[in-house]
Amino acid sequence: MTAIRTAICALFLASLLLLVAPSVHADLETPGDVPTRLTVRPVPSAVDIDINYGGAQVNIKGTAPRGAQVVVKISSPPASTVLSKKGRVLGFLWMTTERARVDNVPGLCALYSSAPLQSLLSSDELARLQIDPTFAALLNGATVESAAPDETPISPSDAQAYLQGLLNARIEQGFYRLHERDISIQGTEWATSLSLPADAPIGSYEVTAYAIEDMQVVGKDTASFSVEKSGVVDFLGTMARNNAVAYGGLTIVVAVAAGLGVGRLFSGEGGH
Amino acid sequence: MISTPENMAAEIERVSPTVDSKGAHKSRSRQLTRVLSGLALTIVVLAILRWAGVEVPFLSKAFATFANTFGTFSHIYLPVAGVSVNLLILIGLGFGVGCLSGLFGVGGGFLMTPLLMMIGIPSAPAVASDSCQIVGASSSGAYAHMRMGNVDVKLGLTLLAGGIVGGTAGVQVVAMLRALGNFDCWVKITYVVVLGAIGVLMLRESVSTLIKNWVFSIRQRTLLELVDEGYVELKARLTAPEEVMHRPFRSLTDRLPGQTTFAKAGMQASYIFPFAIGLLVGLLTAVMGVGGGFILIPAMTYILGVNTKIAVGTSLFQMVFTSINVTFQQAVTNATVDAPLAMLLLVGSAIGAQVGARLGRPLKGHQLRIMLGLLVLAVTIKLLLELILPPAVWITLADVEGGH
Repeated sequence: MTAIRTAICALFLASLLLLVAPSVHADLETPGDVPTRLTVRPVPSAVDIDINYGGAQVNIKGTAPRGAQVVVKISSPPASTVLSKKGRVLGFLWMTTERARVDNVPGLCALYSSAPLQSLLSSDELARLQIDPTFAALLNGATVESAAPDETPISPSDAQAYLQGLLNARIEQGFYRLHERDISIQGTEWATSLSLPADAPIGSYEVTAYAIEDMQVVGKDTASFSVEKSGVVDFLGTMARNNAVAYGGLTIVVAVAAGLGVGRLFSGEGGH
Repeated sequence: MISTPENMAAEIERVSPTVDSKGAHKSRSRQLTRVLSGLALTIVVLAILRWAGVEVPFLSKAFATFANTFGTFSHIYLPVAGVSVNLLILIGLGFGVGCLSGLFGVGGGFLMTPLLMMIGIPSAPAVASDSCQIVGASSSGAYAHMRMGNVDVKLGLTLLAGGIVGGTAGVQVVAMLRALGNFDCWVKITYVVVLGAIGVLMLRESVSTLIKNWVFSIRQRTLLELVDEGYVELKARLTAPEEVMHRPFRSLTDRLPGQTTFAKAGMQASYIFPFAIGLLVGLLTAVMGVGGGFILIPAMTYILGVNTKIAVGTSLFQMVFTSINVTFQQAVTNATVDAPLAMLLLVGSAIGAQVGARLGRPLKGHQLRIMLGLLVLAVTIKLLLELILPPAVWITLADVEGGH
């Protein structure tokens, strides 16, 4: 009797633990009692950029209530981007005529879902959560300013054109991407994987997961992972920024030495 | 030095090389040069094709396979540029461009920057790191040319002094013109016009020299037959070497004060003359944002009347100093110099510059000028097309626009 009670207690504690830190044993949980909460966890939680970095794979996993669909949004920190617009000059030449700075827009945004987004939530709701498949809602908080020295104000229609241009460029670049039906759900566990391009922005990435049932958001969880320079890359990058004179001088000395070295090597070999 | 038997043998060998070993040495180095030259030409042609946007099906497939094979293990993350690129592609690019720079004495910046941007490096670090790469390539090239006796140090330093004054003044002029508006537009137009004019003039002159030499050699052959018939005097008169290029502006330069002799360049002129040319080129470089070699070499050959090879060597010599200056400015004001990127390009380009300098050795001056003229025209046409053809995308991401 005591043994059974202990077992029940242990099971209860275990499922409690699972709620706090979801693990592979989530299936053990008895359905119906306490529905599994939505959780999200990126692995690894830190991506180090060293000299041989060529992009990284970040696995995003977690738990979700049984039967719910999952949507995950991964976005890099809001940043500012400079855009240039070409126009006609003197009637026959095409060149950059205007520049604008767009602030408060993530450089990278990946959307993953277990079913087509349009079928999960209404368009308004998708836009409100900034997870609409066109990414247009991501730009809701964006500001557009002229990047020209004279700071001529930009009209609302021009601003809209710039935002659309930015959106197109990011999608073309593969930095805004949509992966519908790319989350595998097994029981109460779900998983997906983000392949981070080598030139992805640096900083703390926000991962937001939504559980959706019957056109309703029934759960939300957030987590983050960092993408940081480390090792030689960090050393050189920091030195170039903070110690520019020494960095410049050193680079030049090495460049001249290398040039003369190769020159010597070759003229020694050539024997003319 | 410790005299082990091997050491002594090597020393004797070095001090008094036997005819045999020297011959073997030479032929080996010639072979090396030949192999490297072949490689260089292939890379240059491929790079130019790709740069010009010519889509050769086989080529793009080969590039893709190449990238796939080596991309997995031989990429490097560039700390300042913030992108990951293939090592071999970088070294290959450096080699091809270095070859051109050794051959013509042009910095190759006009070619390297667009190529770097094509492989995904943002323009600001591409421009800055390229200038750092030019430091190495031009030192290597200048060293090679110096050993061949192609550098007039005095002329180079005079041009440099003018270039520094002109460049400094040019930066102020740019600031003034920018305030007037529509500046970039006029810069581009001027650039295309100047480049086009230089290209056309060079081609016209060098092709006419080529034809003249050809006619001359035919005439010479005919005269050899004439000799047998006794026309010795006539032969001597007709086969006397023609003065290939007379020195222009002679009467003007002879009247200027500060006359001096530029021994290597084989000219006597006032210091003021090359200084003024350096000043003008420096001014143009600052305004148009393009390396000096392009304008300096034609200016030296056509205005100063310097032999092409000396012009190339001297231009490289002064480029060492101008590129050092630019690199330093870029590092300090923009922090956009990517050292690993520059070094990798340098490895390729320093070797390429040596090969280029050697490739140029058997070529005649006018042959070099034909090739450079064609290259200048190709760049002009590309720029012109960029200006005239409507863009595919109106609004683009702009990282900070660089100098070139």
